[in-house]
Amino acid sequence: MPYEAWENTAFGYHHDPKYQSGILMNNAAIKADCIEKMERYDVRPPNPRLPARNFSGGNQQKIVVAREMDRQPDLLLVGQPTRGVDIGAIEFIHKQIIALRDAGKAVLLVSVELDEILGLSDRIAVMFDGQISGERLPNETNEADLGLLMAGVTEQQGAA
Amino acid sequence: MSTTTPSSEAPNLFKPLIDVGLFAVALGVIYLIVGPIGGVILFASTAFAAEPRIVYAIEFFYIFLTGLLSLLVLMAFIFRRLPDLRDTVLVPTASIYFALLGTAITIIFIGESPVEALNIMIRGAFGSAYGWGYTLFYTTNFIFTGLAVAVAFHARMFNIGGEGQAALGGLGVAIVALSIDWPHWSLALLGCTIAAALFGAAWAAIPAYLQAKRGSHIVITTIMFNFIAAALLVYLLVNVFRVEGSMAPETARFPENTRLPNASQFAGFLGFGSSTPLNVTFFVAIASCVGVWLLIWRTKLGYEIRAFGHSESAAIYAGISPIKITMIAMLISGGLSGMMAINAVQGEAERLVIDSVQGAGFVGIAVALMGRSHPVGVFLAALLFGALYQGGAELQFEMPAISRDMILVIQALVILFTGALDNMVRMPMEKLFLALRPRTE
Repeated sequence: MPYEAWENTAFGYHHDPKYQSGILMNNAAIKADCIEKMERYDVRPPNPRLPARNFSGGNQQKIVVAREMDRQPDLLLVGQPTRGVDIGAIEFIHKQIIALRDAGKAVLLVSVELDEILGLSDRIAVMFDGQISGERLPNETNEADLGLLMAGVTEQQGAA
Repeated sequence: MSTTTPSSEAPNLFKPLIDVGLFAVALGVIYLIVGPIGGVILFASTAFAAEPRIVYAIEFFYIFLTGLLSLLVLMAFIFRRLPDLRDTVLVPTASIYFALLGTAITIIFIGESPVEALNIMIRGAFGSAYGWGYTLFYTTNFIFTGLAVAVAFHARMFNIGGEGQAALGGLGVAIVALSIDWPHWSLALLGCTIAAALFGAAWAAIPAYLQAKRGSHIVITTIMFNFIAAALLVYLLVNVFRVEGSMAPETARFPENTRLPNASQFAGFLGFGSSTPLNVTFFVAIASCVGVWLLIWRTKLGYEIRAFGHSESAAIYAGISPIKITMIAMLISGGLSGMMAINAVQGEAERLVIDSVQGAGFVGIAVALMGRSHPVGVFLAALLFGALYQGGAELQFEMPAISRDMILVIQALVILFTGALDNMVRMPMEKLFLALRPRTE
């Protein structure tokens, strides 16, 4: 999108009263919000006037994550939240997801990073061919087990 | 990488002034150098008076050189001082320059002097209060239609139907002005503006609905609606509105109280004569520029329109209804087109005639393209085209070999360079900018 980063901060939430002043949009408030989020999520370069598409993939990801996770949603559906993001920011995003969980919100995390899944999840459901091929608790499973489920080897077949 | 710090923090009010001053000085120096050279060249060329083609070729070279030097100064200036403006100022200016060269070549082939033709056009458009009156009158028309196209552009729609929407706007103006007994022109202006906008919007609503709900391409439907509008107006003017006993297919003259003050009444001290077509609608047009700017960049609706224009799928993700935005953007666009009628129908003709729009709906496309869909750009582009129209009209009086269609050629060249060949101008310029970027490290 050629929208600048600060405009992207309000994307989907542009009806939010905190972004309004009368019938006009309060662009200053959105910019301030964007600068604040960029600092917290370590978006580089921290320039709200840069078009969002000119950021690197990881930094675009951070802008989106900052926009969505800061809203304290009741249900957070995240797919690959850390793809392309640098290590320090991965850590931060993971902490934010855990914090949302601790606040009593439902989080559905979709990822191909098994480490991420094992590290964050309370319950793991593995999909194969459009169906859930098995559910595990993270402390009762390991990567090999999950890998078998991902390949479609179900419990029944394993027992037989 | 040279980091450009956001300039929004503390804009220095004097910096732009200094910049403009420096620019003026640089241009002055250029003309001090070019002027005498040009004079010598032109004088020398009289030696070839027997063969006018050679004189014209030398003149062309002179235009080419002066324009190129000015362009280079502008480039250097923007490059050094205001790099943010290179897309908005430099590329359109370069496009005008190329269009100008194309025009000069055409005029040479017609067999007239390009320098003289340019002179006549500029003098005709800006040389007198009479010229200014017509130039600004056309400008007012083009601002409305240009804004109309620009608003639709922001939602990535191509509203070719300005012509028909403006014609219907004229119908609205005529009905309201003739059927209601207005006590004062200001109230009549308000009423006619609303009627013009409503009729224009209504005419845009059908193509918009077909686009939003049925996916019928807006370009095709709006073009077809232009023809329907033209046929409808002819029918109405001949069969319904024609004055009893008159042969002319036009409505009765609007009553006294609906006539808008023209420039001789509110700016007579500037020398505008009583016959000038320029009227108070000019201020409505400027207000519309401000209104469109606020709408597009400062409201939720504008945010949604732009988001939709950038990416439909992203807009849907953000909870923006494509149907709603398509409809609203086109209604606003049609309304602005329709408002052209308060200038042309209520302000100037004071009656509804056949073809009151006179192609302004199509010029609006060029104006919006050239003005990059920004109200300031639209205003400047409208001024340019207003000057071209008025200058072109003078040109056909003074040079019988050149017909009024020359304006269309110039217009086409401008559209060609700003629209179709945009990248041809932009790419080399960006390469040049990259090659010349300051090495700050």
